[in-house]
Amino acid sequence: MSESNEKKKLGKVKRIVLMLVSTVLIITTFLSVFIFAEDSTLIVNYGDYTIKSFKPFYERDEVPYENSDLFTMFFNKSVEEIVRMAVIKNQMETDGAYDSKKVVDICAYANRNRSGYDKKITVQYYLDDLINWGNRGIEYKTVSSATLPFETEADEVTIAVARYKSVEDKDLISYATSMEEYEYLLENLKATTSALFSNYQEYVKFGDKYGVGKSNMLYCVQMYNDGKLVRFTNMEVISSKHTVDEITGLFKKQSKYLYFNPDKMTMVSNTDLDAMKMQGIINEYSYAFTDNSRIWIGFDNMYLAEDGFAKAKRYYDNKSANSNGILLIAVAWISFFAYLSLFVYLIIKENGSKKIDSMPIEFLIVLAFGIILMDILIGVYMIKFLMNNLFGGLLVYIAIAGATIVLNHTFMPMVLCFVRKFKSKNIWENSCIKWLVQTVRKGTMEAYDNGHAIVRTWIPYIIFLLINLVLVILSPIGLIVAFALDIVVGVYMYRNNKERQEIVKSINIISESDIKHQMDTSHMHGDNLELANAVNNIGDGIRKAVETSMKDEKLKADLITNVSHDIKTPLTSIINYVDLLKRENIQDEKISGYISILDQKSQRLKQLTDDLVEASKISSGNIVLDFEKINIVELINQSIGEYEDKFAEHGLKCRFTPPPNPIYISADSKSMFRIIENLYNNIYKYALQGTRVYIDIEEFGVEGAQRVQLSVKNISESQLNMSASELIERFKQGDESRQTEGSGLGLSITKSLTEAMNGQFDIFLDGDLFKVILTFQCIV
Amino acid sequence: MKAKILVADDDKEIVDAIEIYLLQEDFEVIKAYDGEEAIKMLKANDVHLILLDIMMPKLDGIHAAIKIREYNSVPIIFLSAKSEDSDKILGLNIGADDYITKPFNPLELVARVKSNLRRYTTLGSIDAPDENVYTVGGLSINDDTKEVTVEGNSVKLTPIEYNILLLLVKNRGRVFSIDQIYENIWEEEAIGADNTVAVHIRHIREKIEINPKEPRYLKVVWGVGYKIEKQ
Repeated sequence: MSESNEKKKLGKVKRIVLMLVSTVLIITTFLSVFIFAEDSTLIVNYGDYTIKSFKPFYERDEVPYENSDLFTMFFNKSVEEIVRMAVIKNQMETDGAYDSKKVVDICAYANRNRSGYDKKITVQYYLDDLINWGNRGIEYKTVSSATLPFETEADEVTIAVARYKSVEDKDLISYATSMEEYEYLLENLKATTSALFSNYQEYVKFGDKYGVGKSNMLYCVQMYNDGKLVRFTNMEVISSKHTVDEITGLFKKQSKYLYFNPDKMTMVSNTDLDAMKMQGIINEYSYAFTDNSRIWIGFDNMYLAEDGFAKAKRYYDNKSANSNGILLIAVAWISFFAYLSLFVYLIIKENGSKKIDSMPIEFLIVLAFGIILMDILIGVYMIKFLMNNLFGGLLVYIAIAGATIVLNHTFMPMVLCFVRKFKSKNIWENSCIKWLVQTVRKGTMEAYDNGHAIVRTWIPYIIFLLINLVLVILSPIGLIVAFALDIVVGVYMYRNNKERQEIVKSINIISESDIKHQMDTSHMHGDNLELANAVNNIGDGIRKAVETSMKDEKLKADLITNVSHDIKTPLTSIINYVDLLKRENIQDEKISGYISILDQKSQRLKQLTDDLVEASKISSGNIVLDFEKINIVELINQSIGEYEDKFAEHGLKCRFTPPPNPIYISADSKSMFRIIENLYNNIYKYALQGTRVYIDIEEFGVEGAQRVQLSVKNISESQLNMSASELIERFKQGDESRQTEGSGLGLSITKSLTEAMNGQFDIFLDGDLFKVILTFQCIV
Repeated sequence: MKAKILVADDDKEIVDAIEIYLLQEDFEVIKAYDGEEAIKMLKANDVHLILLDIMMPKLDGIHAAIKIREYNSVPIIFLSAKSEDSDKILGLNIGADDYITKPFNPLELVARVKSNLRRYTTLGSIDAPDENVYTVGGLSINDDTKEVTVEGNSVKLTPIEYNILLLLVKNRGRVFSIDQIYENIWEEEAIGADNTVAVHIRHIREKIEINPKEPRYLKVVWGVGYKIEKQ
């Protein structure tokens, strides 16, 4: 790992500390939110009901208790209870007191809710007896059918034990004329007894709850009781003498009140209850609220009675006063923001890898989500449980903190694990998807690569056709899918061909000119990528080979140059002293003959060294060419002028007909003459004496791309028993001419120089005819 | 007074051979075998010309020449086995007057020594230039007397050769193509000029140049024409 990475990564201890700090912060956040929620929630037990109200602290501060949701819920509940209580009272009481001897017709009672009920039989019991029966339950016995007052097919029947007799002191069975009738009566008896028993319990409870001076809820219900119009109330001031309007006036003095007239469905109230809602409440008991029924309900905000309302008010006011809502929200926000910042900081600093990172990412995702989901479920369950029970307490806070710790220490490491994977760019490393894709791809590739051309082309093609066919047959949607598929395949084929084209282009570039050319393979795929890389490698190889050989040539040239310098120094002395000897006027012909040989050979050695250096310099590309516009006709005229006399020594005659117009080429002036000079020297040395030398200049080619051809022809003195290419090769000369002057480097130097100036050098041998053709590009 | 020539080369035989040639021409020779010795000898003697080898022990010719040029303007001729153009250019640029490559032709060596000496000794004592006298280095043409001299030696030219040389000397620095020379000298249009002019030029070179292959005055620009270098 590099140093900069090391610096960026957090220390182990620091990381752990930061993780702990983050946990503390998130716990703070969660607890603050929880306590805030707790503060904002009111739960009041009111008799059988638990009333919950959630209002944020600031709303509660503004709304007095009597206008709060909590109060409204309480009030509405009480209204329902009072209505019910009035109905029950009506069932239980006569003249304002419980009447145990009140006569109840079980069939009428059981069917009280059915309007238009056709009363068949009247069976009356005392109220007390029915309630007791309901309390104890009805017992049954089996008797023989003979004992029955009516005929039946069965031998034995089950009947109720007559624990209580009717008002007429008779058994229930004696009212029946058939088994069906008895069963009907028994059903009615069962319904009546159980209903009355439970109503009685409520009667007792309500009496206590809404009794005079026991509740801040005031009520007055006017209804018919055994044909008499009575008023049930917990206000002592109300008597039968008061008119309806007077009572309404009394209630209107209360802080909350309502007056309902079911006859006309009229409602006078300062609560949120309206006639429709009220009608909904009494609907169940419509049998009880007959003509002239009236309901008044009020709430006394003096709180004279210590009831649920008073308790809830104290609770409400107390909570409002003690709420730290704004502080809690602030703490929650700040700690949450700090947590997020810390989290982001940890994410930025996270680096390197841990053991857990080698797990497949899918597994991590499932694990992370599983744990988080579990945490959430546990949390939700816990909060529900706590809300249904009493709130608060240290234990609850500890539970929340624990859940948060678990959550944070699963969530954060998971996220950091992803971050590490993302940063080291190996998210898909070890992943199941990658493994799957690779396996499938490898399998396919193996089948594909090892496959015959048939497998590689026809099978995919057939599969493609089959898919198309199936999709088209399947449905109209299949047609669209097939069309989309065809487009994808088309694009794929286009891309494939385009890449192939690029490769071919690159191969051409490499083979023709630029061996340094490398193609961009970043966008290539599959086979083409392999091919492209191979081509690049080949290009690379060629380039390296060329570079190496260039370097070798240069080394060779340097070596030759240095050696030739060392040769030249002693050669200078040889030449000089031979010259001195020549001056000594030696009479001895033999000695002067030797001296002249020495002179010739030393001169030849000098020429050889020069040629050697030049040849190696040219072939290693170590020569500087100064290109300029040259008239090749002028050049030939000049050169012939230089060499005419020398040629004449061997009886050679130059034949040159200059073209009328100058022909220009781009070349290095000195090197151009060097080429011609070499050719002439060659002719001078090897041409048959007394022959003619033909020189021609010819322009050819289309306008704008003309080329000029310079040909030099002569007759060789000795037979040329070798190929043209052998002639050019260095240090080779025609066998017969080996002894004569010349290094054999001449033609090689000429060819190299011509090519260095973008020309073409060709030699043609036809019997003794020796022909050299130089071709250059013309310039205007 | 005999001209004193300092010959510096680490190869004793070469120095001796050069001494022989120079003594034959009646020069006085001082010998040195390395760069430092050459400088010492130069200080101790009144030297008129230095023949300096480049590759020498202790102090090479290039550095020696640089040191000498700091206080002395005596002609320096480099004598070296290094025959590359770049070597020649370097040598001439640091202040040498001429550059002869080894192995050298003794006659050429002597001719160049004389040429450089003459220029050095006659410098500043040139006669008032005549209107019709053209000089390029050691080459001088008197158009009044139709006389051509090289390093003081009279040269015999044919009328055509003379006219060609005069044309080039009058327009020194300018390159004349064969056609242009033909039209100027023969005063007729050149249609498909042949190598006549080229042959004349070669003859002129053979007469006025020390080494016609490496001309100092009449230069050939191959494929373009001929010119006399501005000096």
